[in-house]
Amino acid sequence: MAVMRGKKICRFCENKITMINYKDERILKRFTNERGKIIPRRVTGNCAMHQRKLTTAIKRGRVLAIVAFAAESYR
Amino acid sequence: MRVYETTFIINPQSDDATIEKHVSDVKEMILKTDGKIISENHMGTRRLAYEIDKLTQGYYATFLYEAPTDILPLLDHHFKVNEAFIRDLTVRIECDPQEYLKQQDPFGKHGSDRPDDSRRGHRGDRGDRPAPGKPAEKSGEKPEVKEETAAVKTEEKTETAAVKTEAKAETSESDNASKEDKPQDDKE
Repeated sequence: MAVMRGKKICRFCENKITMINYKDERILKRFTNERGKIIPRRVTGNCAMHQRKLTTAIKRGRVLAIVAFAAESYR
Repeated sequence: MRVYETTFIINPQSDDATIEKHVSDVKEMILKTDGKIISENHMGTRRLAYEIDKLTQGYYATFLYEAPTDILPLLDHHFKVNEAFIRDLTVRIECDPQEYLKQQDPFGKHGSDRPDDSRRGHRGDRGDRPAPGKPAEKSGEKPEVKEETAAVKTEEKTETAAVKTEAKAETSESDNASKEDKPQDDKE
């Protein structure tokens, strides 16, 4: 995504999603890097509203052990 | 009455019957306080993203329900007292619960929007796939000219029963024959 060129479009706006499911591992993982950090919206192209909702969803997911707080091991 | 969603993780090491009992206990508690269950989802045993109490797996279950606020301290206490519950999370749902349920799986399970694709970008037109015989052509005109002259020699050699094996000679002949077509056309 970092190499993406042109205008970035918010994926959630595109798909008309108003709520982000904090139990959906796929979505949460897509917007976190290998270390488990939340990817900034300057990289993903999310709009402000959805980035806000996404961060709460990821943080909820971390509590429920759906996504990790930090990667277990890294080089 | 408010709409809440409670998700909890149960220790999966106990047998199925006790897990079921823990889930139904929570359900009963909600119903006892005049709550109304809108949906319940047993996600089953899943891998935990990190170890909790030395456990690597957990049994997930979710309830979406409408209940008075009194339920929250009761549930909290229940989860704290009972050691089988590893984690719990209760979230208030402020929108229409049916709408909420609809959006649970927004991208669909068919994976039309796979995570890997987003990072890749467009790969560009790959053109025609190289056919098995093509790589020689790709290397340019120079080798073709050489092979052309070599082909004549090899043909002569094979005719005079040279050292080369028949199989090798045949393949080189057929290869050269196909390549010879083009240069000949150029000459004409």
